[in-house]
Amino acid sequence: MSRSQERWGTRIGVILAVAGSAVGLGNFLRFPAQAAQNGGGLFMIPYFCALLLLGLPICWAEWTMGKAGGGLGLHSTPAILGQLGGHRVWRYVGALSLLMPTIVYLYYVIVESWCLAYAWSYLGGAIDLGPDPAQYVRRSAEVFTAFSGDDADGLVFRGSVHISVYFWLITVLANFALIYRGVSRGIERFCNLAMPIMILCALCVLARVLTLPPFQEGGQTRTIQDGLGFMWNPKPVGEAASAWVALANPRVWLAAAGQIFFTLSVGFGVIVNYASYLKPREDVVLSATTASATNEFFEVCLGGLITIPAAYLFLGMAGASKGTFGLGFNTLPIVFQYMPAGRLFGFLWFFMLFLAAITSSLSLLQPVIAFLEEALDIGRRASVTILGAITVAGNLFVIYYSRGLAALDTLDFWAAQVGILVFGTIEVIVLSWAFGAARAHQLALEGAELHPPRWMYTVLMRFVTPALLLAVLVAWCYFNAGDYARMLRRGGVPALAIAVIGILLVLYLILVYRADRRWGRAQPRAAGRGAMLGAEGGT
Amino acid sequence: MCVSLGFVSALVGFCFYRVLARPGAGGPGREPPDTAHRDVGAGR
Repeated sequence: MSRSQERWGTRIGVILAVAGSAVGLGNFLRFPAQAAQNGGGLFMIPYFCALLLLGLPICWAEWTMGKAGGGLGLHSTPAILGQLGGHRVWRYVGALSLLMPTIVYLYYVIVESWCLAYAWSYLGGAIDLGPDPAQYVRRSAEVFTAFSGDDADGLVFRGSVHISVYFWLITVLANFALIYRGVSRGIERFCNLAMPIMILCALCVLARVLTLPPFQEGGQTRTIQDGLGFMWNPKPVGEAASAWVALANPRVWLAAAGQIFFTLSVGFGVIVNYASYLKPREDVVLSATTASATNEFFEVCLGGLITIPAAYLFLGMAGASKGTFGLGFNTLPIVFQYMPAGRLFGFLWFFMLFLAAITSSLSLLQPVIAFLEEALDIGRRASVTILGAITVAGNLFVIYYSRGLAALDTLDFWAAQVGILVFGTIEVIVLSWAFGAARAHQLALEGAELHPPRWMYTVLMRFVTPALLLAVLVAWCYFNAGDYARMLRRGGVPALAIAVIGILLVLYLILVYRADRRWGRAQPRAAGRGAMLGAEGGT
Repeated sequence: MCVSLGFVSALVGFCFYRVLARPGAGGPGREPPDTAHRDVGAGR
């Protein structure tokens, strides 16, 4: 099958693939930490506002763009953006949609390999924090350091090949083997299998957590209800006197918007690429909403009930107030050590995290694979080889500079926090202004099973969402840019990581330039359906 | 907590009910029928 004819096999398949892309470590580790730190239950008000005003409109926009591009035989976001934007300059802007997934993949696959390593270790009984609860924190940190090498640069390369390098290799090979098989035979089949297994694993762990007996420590007794209360009861943020003051704190709204962006996988160009493999005249609005709702189910109903309540029960407020990695790889092993049958539930938990991560990392590779094939007119084997070489080199950089996870943190900051906000804004502006909100609405209605009113495109997507996105960007710069600029001036690993991002950007711009010359003003197969879409002939 | 869980559960239930209610949603090779909007955008 030629690449332009590649299609999803079933509708459920594409929904599960997009949901699999969205469901990742952020659902189970980042969301609970963000909610607990930003007002508890009150966090859900800005969170759902961000979902309805930012997340869903951008999801619909990305699905609509992908459907339009697929109708033209295009699957790479730069090509689709150039076509819909009506000017070839958008192809160059689209290089961001290649850069961001690549950067995130560089560190994400390493975290994925830690999950595999933990799952394997729990299965074999290799993670045992010993008989003394006073030593659990130290032992858990040692286990994490053994896999991540976070106490010194180059730790895992010293002496013989470190065990974590083998897990990384297995994870990389699994990713590229699946991506090599293609959209339907590789990604879709795997997600159809992985998503139900993830739900089963999560439900098993949830049932165990909700039935945990009270825990006594230092004369205090904590119950799982106390843990749920810590996670969900409205509480003040920082020094504020009242919980409701949290709603007036812009940082809380910013955290909610950032979480929605991160969790829905919007602003990466991933959904545009996935939706381009839809069959002609297939629904996008209901599919987009279903994939987003599935992600929310994993995040709110599973992630929100497991991680923090369990951590609070055994470790109190200190254990439940850690960040993403601290919660996932330091606190939870202690929880499983305390928990009856903790070895089994530890395996289920980390295996589920591994599946969640691999369904996401596949979606980070596919947009770049599609671009390489479309831009360079090469086959799957060549595109996989090129991307494999680029990402392995980047992975080795992240693995080597492991002290304090500095390289990982820097890449995460620029791609998964800043980059997706910027590119999400660009996507919405291209679709609703350059292409036209009314046209986009008509395109979304083709085959639609949910019929969004016209104002959702012509008012919400055209005015409200871009304005909110710009406000979030400005607020983000106000709160964070100064600190980060000071850190960069100190040089070291963060500056090196920025250099890696710069090298990748230049590489992708050169490839887009080459593709632009090859494509010229006419896009492949653009003539017939391009006229129907009403795209201007500028590209 | 209950409001959040209820909202998300209702949303995911409604969406999957609508998706699965349509023939051909999960079976390969069974195309869903065209909708009343089949001609929207044609001729533009």
